[in-house]
Amino acid sequence: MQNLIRDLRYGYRTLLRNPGFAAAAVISLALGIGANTAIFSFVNTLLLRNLHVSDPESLVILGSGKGRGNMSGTPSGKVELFSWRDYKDLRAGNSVFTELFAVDSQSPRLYASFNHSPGTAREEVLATPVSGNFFSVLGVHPAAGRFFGTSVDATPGSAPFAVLSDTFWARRFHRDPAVIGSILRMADRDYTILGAADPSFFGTRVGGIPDLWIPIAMKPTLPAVDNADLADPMSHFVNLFARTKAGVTLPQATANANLVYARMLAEYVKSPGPSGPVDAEDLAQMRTMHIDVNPASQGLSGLRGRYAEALRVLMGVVALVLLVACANVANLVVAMGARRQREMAVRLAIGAGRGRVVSQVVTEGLLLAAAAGVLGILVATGAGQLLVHRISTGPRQLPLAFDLDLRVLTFTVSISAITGILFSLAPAIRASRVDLNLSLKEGKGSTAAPGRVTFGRVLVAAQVALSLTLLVSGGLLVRSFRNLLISGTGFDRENVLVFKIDANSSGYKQDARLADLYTRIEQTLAHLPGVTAAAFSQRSFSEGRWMETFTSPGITLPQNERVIRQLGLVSPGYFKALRIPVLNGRGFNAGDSAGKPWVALVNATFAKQVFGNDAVIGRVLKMGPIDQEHDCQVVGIVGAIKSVDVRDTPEKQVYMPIAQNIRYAGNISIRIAGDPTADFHRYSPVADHPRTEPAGQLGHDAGRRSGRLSGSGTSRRPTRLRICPGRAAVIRHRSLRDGVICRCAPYE
Amino acid sequence: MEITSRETLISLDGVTKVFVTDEVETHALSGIHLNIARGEYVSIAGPSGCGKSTLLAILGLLDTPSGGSYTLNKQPVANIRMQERARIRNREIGFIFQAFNLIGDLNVYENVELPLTYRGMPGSERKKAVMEALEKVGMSHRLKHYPSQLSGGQQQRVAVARALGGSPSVLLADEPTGNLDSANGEAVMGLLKDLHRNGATICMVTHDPRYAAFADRTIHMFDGRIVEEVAGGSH
Ligand SMILES: Nc1ncnc2c1ncn2[C@@H]1O[C@H](COP(=O)(O)OP(=O)(O)OP(=O)(O)O)[C@@H](O)[C@H]1O
Ligand SMILES: [Mg+2]
Repeated sequence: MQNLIRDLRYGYRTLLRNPGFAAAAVISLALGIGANTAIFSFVNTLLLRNLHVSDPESLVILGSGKGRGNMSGTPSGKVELFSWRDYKDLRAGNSVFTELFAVDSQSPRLYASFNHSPGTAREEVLATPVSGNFFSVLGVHPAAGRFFGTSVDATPGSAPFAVLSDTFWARRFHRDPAVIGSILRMADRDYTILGAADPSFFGTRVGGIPDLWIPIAMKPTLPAVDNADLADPMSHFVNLFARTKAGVTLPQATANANLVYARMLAEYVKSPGPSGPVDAEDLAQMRTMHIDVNPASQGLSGLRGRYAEALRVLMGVVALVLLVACANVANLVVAMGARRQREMAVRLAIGAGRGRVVSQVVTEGLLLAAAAGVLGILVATGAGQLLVHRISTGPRQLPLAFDLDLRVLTFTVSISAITGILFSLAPAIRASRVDLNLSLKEGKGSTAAPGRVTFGRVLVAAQVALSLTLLVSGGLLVRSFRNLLISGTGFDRENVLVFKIDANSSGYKQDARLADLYTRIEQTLAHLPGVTAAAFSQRSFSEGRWMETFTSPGITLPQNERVIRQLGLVSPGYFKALRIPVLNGRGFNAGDSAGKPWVALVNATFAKQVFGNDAVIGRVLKMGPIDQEHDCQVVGIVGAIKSVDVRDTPEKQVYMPIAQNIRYAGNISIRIAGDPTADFHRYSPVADHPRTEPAGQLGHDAGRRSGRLSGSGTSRRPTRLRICPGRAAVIRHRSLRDGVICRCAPYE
Repeated sequence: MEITSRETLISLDGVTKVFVTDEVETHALSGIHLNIARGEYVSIAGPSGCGKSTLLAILGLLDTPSGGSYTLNKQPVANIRMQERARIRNREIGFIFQAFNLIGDLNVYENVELPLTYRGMPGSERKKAVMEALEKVGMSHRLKHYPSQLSGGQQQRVAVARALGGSPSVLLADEPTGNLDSANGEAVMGLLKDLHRNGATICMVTHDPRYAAFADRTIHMFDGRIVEEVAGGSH
């Protein structure tokens, strides 16, 4: 102990006396340790850490948690999403869970205005619908106000309450307590803000902090894409979480959940919901269904799936960086050691054991490493922010932050210690082996001993080898990211601006008036100078799927292959705006209106997988959304695109014109000709509408590309495109750097 | 002279040392026979390159002989382990070098204390031993100075204090006055003489016949051999 203190004091003094050496060593190690700490903190957040809720270990999820969206129809295979009725029945019928709660698998983006700050424009908020017991089962406490409870589940549409997430409360209201109890208006309802959550609580989705939590009971009042019929047992949209009873194992929980679920389905067959009677085929399909119960202590995360692999690779790369830094510092220490060889010889001569000399040098190494560790944490904070900034290209940052918890701290301390030992042990052992006779002689002590040259060479060789490895793996990494970026999405995302219009909250119903509005806006925009095409679509890139089953006369595919993976509702200009090629037949045009025969386009993948080599044009499709009543005639084949993720494989896609299947389709894509950095000010007004017309307001996200991990330098400053109430649409534009691109995914 | 009645502390029997470098063999020592009694003061003289420092290094366990046997304190040294050798260096032997070899990052007090800390001596005892040794060499007023802030003579006096602080069985000095002017040289020699008078065993390499005269016995070496032993100084 005394020795340790003495060594530390001495080491400290030695380092102070060699400030150049100390600075070089500390800085290169700090960079290495910092990079490792930063990446590890993300690994920790995404892959290791438990949710900030009480007793996370007893949390389970029914299914894998990967399913998202709103799926209607008979479940088959592994069950991922549940209906509201499933939730209620499972909760009542099971004997293995102390509690069960439901979380909407998707968080709708809604437009809200706040009484607390009157006069401000409506803003987009991310709201997660949850069951009433959400907060109580998770065992979390409000930071202000209160949470809603199970009473909100009682009557659909009658519980307009919202709880703010801390992030939103802080970002939007600077944690003003006065906002608690005030009203926010959203989707034509006045919600009372009941309270705000604690900063450590972000729900069940890691890296997916919503702005608000609202009761699932409010689902039916939400705009079309986001609402759901709570009475329909076949409208599957929630993830189910549960707490297992003490002593219940996963297999037991799984067995019981499946038993109850099978009984429930039998009940649904007897008394079918709004989706109609269950036929023999559905019944056969139901027999294949199975619920897996999985641990959920870490919560869900789309980011986890998306970035886990990349993070592991990055972890490897930064580990290599640290190794190179170690080799560098070892070199420095050896160079220092050459100067200190005489000192070590003296110490040995006057009776220091080799162990003492080794431990002294190692202590000095640890001291350096400790300094580097402290500096490294600072580096990590900066690097973490930089990294998050680089990978989130939308206006909202990825909801990840460098977070120094005990595990990260332990990690940093450990790698610092390991680093310290790593770079000082070899020099230490060398120091303890000096030739005493040689080193103590006047004039001979500081000349190079033959051994050192070799050791130095080995170090240099090792560094070169490591750096080379690093270079190669770095190159591979960059290439795979590039592949992600450039690998064909099937559409041309350059020079496309995408923004949203919320016609629903402007009072439009899903009828002919809406279709007319869309047509007028599309035509006005398309005729703007500098705009070569404009189009509406129900979804834009990475906004999720609409899957649907279909039948087609003459086609005898098994039911599980009669699935459209992405059914797109689009306006005629869509294919031109996104430059999706029409390969055969024709695209949509103004003639494909409500009163005309219904038409559809299929993509090349669909054509090949469904019709093989047979003729495609003129074939008839019957699809879910039109309740099998309409025959849709296939009038063309278009190119396949990746609609959700750049890593998607080709999938069956079908398009229908909005005009024949009128639904809210708030995404407007416009293709800009020429210089995308052109100033748009002069293009106002875009549209001229009476006071009652769309008042939607729109954030637009530049260049976010799902699945990307490196930034590409696209502008992150939102381009504002404002459609002012009662006046005109004005496109305002600020600093659009290298072209924008596509609207992006809801943030995970 | 009562040499015969004294106990033998050091005994070398046919000790040889061969250095092999780049396929050249240097016979630094060939067949050294030497006995040194406890309390004796021996000086070693001889031309440059004759093997004096090599001999001292072997005596001080800084190096191992290529042949022959070395017995220190009745214990054959050939087959003792590294750790034990470090312990013997620490407790039984005190070194004084021509180049002082103080540690630059330690102050006077810490330099003298260093061998005692390796011994694991308790703090209070250590402090006493350090202060005693520094008083003996007249350096107790410079405790907080660093070697670079001292004159050559002062540095060598601190080195002597370091060597004798642990009350070793034998002091080995390799040209302790080599880097000093005559006044400082004499002061250091005076110190050694005092130590000898108080019972220390000293083995010193020196070129200077004036200083050799302080010794009980002078050994003359030539080309790795002892060629002459003279009682008292070399004249
Ligand atoms: N480590 C070594 N490797 C090779 N040869 C050595 C080594 N140490 C000493 N020698 C050789 O051994 C011989 C004796 O050297 P030593 O240092 O003992 O001489 P010395 O008597 O102390 O000389 P000086 O009076 O100049 O100090 C010399 O020829 C020297 O070159
Ligand atoms: Mg010599």
